[in-house]
Amino acid sequence: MIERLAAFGRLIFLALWAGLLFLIATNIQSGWLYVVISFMLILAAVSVAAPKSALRAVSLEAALPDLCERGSPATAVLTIRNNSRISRHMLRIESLSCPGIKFEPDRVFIVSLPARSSLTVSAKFAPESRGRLKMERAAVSCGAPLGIFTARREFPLRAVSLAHPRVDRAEGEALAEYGGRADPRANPARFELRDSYNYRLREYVPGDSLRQIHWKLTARAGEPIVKQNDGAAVEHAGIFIDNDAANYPPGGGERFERLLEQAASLAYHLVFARGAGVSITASAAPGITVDSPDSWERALRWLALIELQSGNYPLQPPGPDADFTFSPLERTEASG
Amino acid sequence: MSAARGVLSALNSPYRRPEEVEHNVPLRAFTWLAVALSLCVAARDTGLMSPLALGLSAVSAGYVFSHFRRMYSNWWMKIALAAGMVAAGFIYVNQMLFTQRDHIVVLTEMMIFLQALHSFDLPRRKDLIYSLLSAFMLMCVGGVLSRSLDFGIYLAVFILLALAMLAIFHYRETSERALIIGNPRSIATVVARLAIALAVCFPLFFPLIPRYRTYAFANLPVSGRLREAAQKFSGQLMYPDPPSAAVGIDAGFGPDAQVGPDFSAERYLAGGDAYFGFVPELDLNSRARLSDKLLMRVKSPSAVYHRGLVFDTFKNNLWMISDAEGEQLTRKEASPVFRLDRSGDTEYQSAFIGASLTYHTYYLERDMPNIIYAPYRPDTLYFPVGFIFMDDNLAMRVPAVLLEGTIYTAISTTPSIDPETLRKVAFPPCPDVDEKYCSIGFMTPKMRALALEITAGSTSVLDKVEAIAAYLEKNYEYDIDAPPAPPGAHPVHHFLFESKRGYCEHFASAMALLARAAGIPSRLVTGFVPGAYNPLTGYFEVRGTDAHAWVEIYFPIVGWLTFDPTPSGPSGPVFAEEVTPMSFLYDRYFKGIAEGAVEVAARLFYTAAVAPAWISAALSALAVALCAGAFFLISARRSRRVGRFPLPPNNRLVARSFLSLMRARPELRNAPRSATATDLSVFIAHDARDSWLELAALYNRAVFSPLPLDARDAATASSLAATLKADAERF
Repeated sequence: MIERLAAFGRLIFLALWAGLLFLIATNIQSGWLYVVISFMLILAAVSVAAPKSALRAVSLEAALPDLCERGSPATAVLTIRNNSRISRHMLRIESLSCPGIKFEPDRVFIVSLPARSSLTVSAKFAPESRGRLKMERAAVSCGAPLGIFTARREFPLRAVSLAHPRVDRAEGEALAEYGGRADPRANPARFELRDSYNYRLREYVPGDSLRQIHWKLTARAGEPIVKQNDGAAVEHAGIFIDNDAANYPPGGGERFERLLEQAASLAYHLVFARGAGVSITASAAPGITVDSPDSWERALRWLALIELQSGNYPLQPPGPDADFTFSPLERTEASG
Repeated sequence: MSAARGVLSALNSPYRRPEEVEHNVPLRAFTWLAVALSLCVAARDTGLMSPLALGLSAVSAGYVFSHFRRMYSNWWMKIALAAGMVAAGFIYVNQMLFTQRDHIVVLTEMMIFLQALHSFDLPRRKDLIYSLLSAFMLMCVGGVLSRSLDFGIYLAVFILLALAMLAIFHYRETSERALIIGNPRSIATVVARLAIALAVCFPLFFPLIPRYRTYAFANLPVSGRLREAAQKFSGQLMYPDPPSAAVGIDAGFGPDAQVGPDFSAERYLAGGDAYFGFVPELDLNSRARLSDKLLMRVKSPSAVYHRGLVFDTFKNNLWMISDAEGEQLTRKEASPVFRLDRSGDTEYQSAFIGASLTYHTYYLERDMPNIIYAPYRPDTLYFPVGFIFMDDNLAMRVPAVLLEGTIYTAISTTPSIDPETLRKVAFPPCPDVDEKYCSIGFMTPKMRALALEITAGSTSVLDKVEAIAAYLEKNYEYDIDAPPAPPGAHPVHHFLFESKRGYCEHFASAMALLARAAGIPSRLVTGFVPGAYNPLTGYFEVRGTDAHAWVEIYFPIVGWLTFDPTPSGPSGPVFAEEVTPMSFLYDRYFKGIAEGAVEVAARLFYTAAVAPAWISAALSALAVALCAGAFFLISARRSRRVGRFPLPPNNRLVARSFLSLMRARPELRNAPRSATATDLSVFIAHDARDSWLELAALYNRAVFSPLPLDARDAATASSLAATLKADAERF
């Protein structure tokens, strides 16, 4: 109730002023005060009617990109249209936010929208969460001409998007090289791991060509690492993602997200850098196969929609073709 | 050195809410202009020139200071301002309690002072709004005090400035932390449209506002005490003269009031444009060319005749006042109030029939004789002199020439009696009153015979009086240039039987004498007609040409009632007629010329305007609501809401193809409702997936892109949908 009254706060203030002036005018019999009261009444009438009328004539639509990456900048498109034959002023698209999306800036102020015209506005945002993003409604407010009374109208929107996990090419490369382990120091046998695909890694031996040195890994490991091609390119790799909620500690969603990002980065590297096919499977979801970069988008959609599953979902252990396993459980053996 | 640096640092401590600081210069400039204008307007009618000069300088300096020091806390300035405000309050209370200055002037002076102080502390946007609000208050003070149309110009400029300021304020406030699209210059369009809306709607709203006529808490206006005449004053008439420097308006009511000269009627009339009815003996053969100069403004709820002198005796072809001196009435205590209570007078008691108290304030714009103009019958008088004289006819005179700038208020008991009731008044009334009102000496036999002839068929007093008035109106011509009667001739006889042309004094004299001849007490009154009503200021403007003569007729039980036999005057008894802007519009533009439906509508409006206040208020509220509703409906109709973003034809075809396909694919029945068109491809069989994705891309473009699709896209979508529907039959 108080909030509803607060929306009319300035109008009530104006009415109180007019009432006070009326009292004085009737007592002092001042003609000019009646003139002032007339102006105040007209102002009040226009302040109520104009914003409401303006908003009735306006429509708003929004579109989000079909796919976007969690944490990376993306652009939404807002289209506001003035369907009337009168130009509208001082419209404000406000509170542009929905679960998982925060726009910056989160409001748009349109000084003037000509009659029978539309205006397309780009709004930047970075998805804060992975999965399905829905922009179901947005509000447009108008306080024209003077903001004495502000009308607000909510518009239902149909803008949806999918936010997939962040894909880091560098991390994918490192993961491929370390057999799916993100931190090479965590595994004492790290330098013994065989690269499954184009080359293997070993410690530097005097006489090795400088061209063979893997400089990035050398920098991370703190000692010279060289790569040695064995000539055998890998055509297909399996990635297993553990999405059994029972394996995650309470509140382990962020851990799961991190694993997904690693899996996505790895898959991206395998598909785009090494030209391999990838089968992504999960413990509690049907898998997906990516044969070529053309079908990479399907993998992203799969990665965007996969969730932690609990309950009586038929669990699948990582199969024998799972070259890389992403699980919160401690691995007994480095795969690859 | 370090101490000085410390002091400087303390003085320059930053403002604690920098995000609230207003940086916009035009916003400050418009506010400053509005404030400066309001100071000028408020000071103009109060004569506060020194406070105005000081206030304008301080406000200008304050605005500059506030702008350049907006990022600092200025705590030392706030302390100084607080001290200044306390001082202003102290001075205000002191002035109100211990001086005789007009309260509204004292109040205005304090508001100017506070406005000047406040202008030094305007870092935030909201502070500027408060400054504009106090400027608005000063404008209202100016509106209360203003009696001329000049205020309209100032008000128009102020409103434009305030609208510009408020529009910029709204722009700044709503665009804060938002992505701004568009040119801020289009605010000018908003202001211009609003100004046009105000100008167009004003004639509709202004007359509809109900007018309550009260004086619930206001002090009745009265100016400073006039300097009274030096010689002994016993009610004689005094006239202004060009060397009026000898008299003046005193600031107070002290015992040292000086007295001025007594100017003669001859010198007054020699001025050329003075009215000859304001002399002790009214000669009907006199005629002066009246000037059109504004003599006074009258704030009155109704159009009333302003009585000046009342002549009760016709002798030697002259109208005279038998009780030239009258009774002296002295005001009570220090207040300039005269209670004209004559409770022993039966006439006074009877006049209460259907009567109401009305307030009439006179603002003199020129020097005038020492006659108090007031409607019949005066009850209480607020007048700036020590004593007044009132004669038997309730005409009043003061011991000082009325000077330009004199303000006084008269409270009168104005009667309002139903003509039918009045018609029942018994006849003859003459024995009830003083014989002088019935004297038929100095009347020719022909005149008496005419009176009896005119009133022969009438039985009541009212019928007889109306018969005389109708006879005069029908048979005589109003002519301001009517020649005077020959020397020695009876002027009324000459008018009635010879020239048959005359002006108001002739008509009034003829009626008064004919009424007396018919046995009805009467007297002749000179004064002013109501004057021109100005609906904007609410004042009646009385000019020299409004000087007039009319008749008062005595009715038993009721008392004296006004009749105006001049052809242009109202027929029947003249009662106070309430005037509102609506009735003004009706009288001016519809009365007499409107016909048919227009007249009915106009009469309806007029009835609404003069209805009881609460009915008027209810009708006004209804009218305002209807206007706002009509505005809203028209605007909405023009808008013709299209609904949710209408799709162009090809886009609609594509969307329909896709949606019909969705319903045809059985594997999508269990798909999540929130899945996008592209998402749904996950559920589509592998071999149909590419076609699906292609169609989904088209659908997305059709629905979400602002660009229209072409016919080829629509055909492609249709073809894909058909293929996928056929494919779905496998399931």
